[in-house]
Amino acid sequence: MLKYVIKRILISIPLMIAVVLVVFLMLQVLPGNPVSVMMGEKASPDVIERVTEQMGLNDPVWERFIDYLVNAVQGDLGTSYKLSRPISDLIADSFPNTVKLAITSALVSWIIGVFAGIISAIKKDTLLDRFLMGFSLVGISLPVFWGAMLLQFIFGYTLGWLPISGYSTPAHMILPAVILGWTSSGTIARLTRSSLLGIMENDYIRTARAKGLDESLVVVKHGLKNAMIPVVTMMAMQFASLLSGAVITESVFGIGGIGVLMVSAVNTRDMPLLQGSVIFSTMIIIIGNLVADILYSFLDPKIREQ
Amino acid sequence: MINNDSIFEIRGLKTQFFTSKGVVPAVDGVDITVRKGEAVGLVGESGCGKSMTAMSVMQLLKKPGRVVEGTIKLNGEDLLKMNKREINDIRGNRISMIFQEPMTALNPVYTIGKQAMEALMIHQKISKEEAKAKVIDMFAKVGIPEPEKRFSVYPHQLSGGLRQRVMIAMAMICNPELMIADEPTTALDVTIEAQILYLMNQLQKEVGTAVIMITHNLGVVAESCDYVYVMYAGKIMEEAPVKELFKNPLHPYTFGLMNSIPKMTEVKTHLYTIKGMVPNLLNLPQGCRFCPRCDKAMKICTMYQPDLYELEDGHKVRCFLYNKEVMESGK
Repeated sequence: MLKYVIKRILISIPLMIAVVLVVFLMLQVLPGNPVSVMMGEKASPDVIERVTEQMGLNDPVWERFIDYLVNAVQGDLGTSYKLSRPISDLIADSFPNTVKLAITSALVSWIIGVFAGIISAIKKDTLLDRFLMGFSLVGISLPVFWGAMLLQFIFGYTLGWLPISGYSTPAHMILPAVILGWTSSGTIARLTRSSLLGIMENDYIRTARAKGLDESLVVVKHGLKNAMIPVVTMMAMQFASLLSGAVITESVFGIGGIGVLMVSAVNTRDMPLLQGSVIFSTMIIIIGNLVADILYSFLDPKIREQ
Repeated sequence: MINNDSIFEIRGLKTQFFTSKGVVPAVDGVDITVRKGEAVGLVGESGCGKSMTAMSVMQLLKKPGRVVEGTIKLNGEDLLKMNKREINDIRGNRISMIFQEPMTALNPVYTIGKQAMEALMIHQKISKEEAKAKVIDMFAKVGIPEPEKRFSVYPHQLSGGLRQRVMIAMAMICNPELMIADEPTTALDVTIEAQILYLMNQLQKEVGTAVIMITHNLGVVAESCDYVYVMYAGKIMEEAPVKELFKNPLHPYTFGLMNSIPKMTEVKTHLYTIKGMVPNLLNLPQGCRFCPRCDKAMKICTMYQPDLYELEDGHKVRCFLYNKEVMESGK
């Protein structure tokens, strides 16, 4: 087990370096001189040239990459051109909000998704199944920005129950969590349903019934644990993508998270900030996949052994 | 081993599948009697309804299948009249079942020990430690080497033969009155088959469990059963004690089955086969179901269904050849 985890972690390291390289190179080939962006339009070419030299931007690309990588490993992602603050500080400021949003919306998504999936599978082809699957289909198809504004209008503006924007109190967390959770719950619900239905056709389910187990135990104990293997993978990946920033939800609700940070970096052409936040988000996704793999092995003894 | 007190009786069992193409009479009026400690064979080709008989007993039929008529009595109690909870009390406890496919019949995400303990834990009020000790005992009894170590092993780490031993251990763990084995050795190779059959015979004698052995293999029946039912297209065609059946097969179908087994003592260039195919249950012949394939068919066979005639020695056969009136009236 430990060996498997260590192996998976070691495999992730080259992947992370490759990601940093790709992001780094992509931003190198973008047109425009970052120094002229930083200094503004009125700066003279001489000054720009001098600052470029000072910042080491004239060094060969590979040299700058190695420098960047060495600094990144130590937690230094450079300094924002526009905000003149270390990027790691900016990320540290906005990440807690993203984490809160990710956890609350993932909870909404998983609870709705797994329960709806199980009930749909047990009550297959009934009205309840149709309703739940319809509900989850609406969730999958619903554009987040539109759903979010709809919720803001109903619960914030018309009824006045919940705040529309900001992220300071627990009440602020409800609407974003509901809309983001609902839109992601559809995938979980449908996957849980189809996975459980498939599993319930297996011979070992018949064996469990033949032992005299109550049907609910057959589903929960023998069906669900097998059916959850693909679902858990999906959950971990979903959670990782939530952690890497829900750009639209954060923007609509005015939550200062990683997503908003990234958007502002794009809008202000703040390349180091964009680079740093993209790399940070990608790391989160890689770690999320790693966790999914490890969870997977907890559920499936065959993988644990390999 | 044979005595006269029957513990399990199926009477007039009809199981049908209500499909969009019509009603499929998979089991059509089957009577089976099992006496205490007896091993009964149920033989027939694929699709003759032998597995569906077992599934009807365990009430594990899948939709659109349903028992429409008959009684299934275990010591006088009719299983078909029981509610779900009462059935669950019987399943795995008083009647257990072994399935054909040992490779898929065990849950891949639980250890075999845990799975074997499950039936004990629900049917008997004992502690986990006691249950574990019992399971390890049982594993040893069914010939699983190093039972303590194997207790915490997952199914995929075992061979097919060992998995089937685990299934037998699971089926025997509550000392059931009846064990239904549905083609328990079909998926195993011949040497393992012999070991498993030997093991089942041993346990049956030791514990006194009665067995219904469902198989298409007459060799398995000869080796392990006391009494045999031959089934064809949902009906019992012939029944007799095993020695009697092999010595004196009466029904042309049974005769054909026996002749289609290669024998060590004869040199043949062609193996006998029963001509034709198993009838489509949606479109059965009007008369005897075996009639279109029977080389002794008479006119009456195409018009009427024969009853199960009992001969003097208790041998029963569903064929007009053994009905004196029909034979004397000149067909």
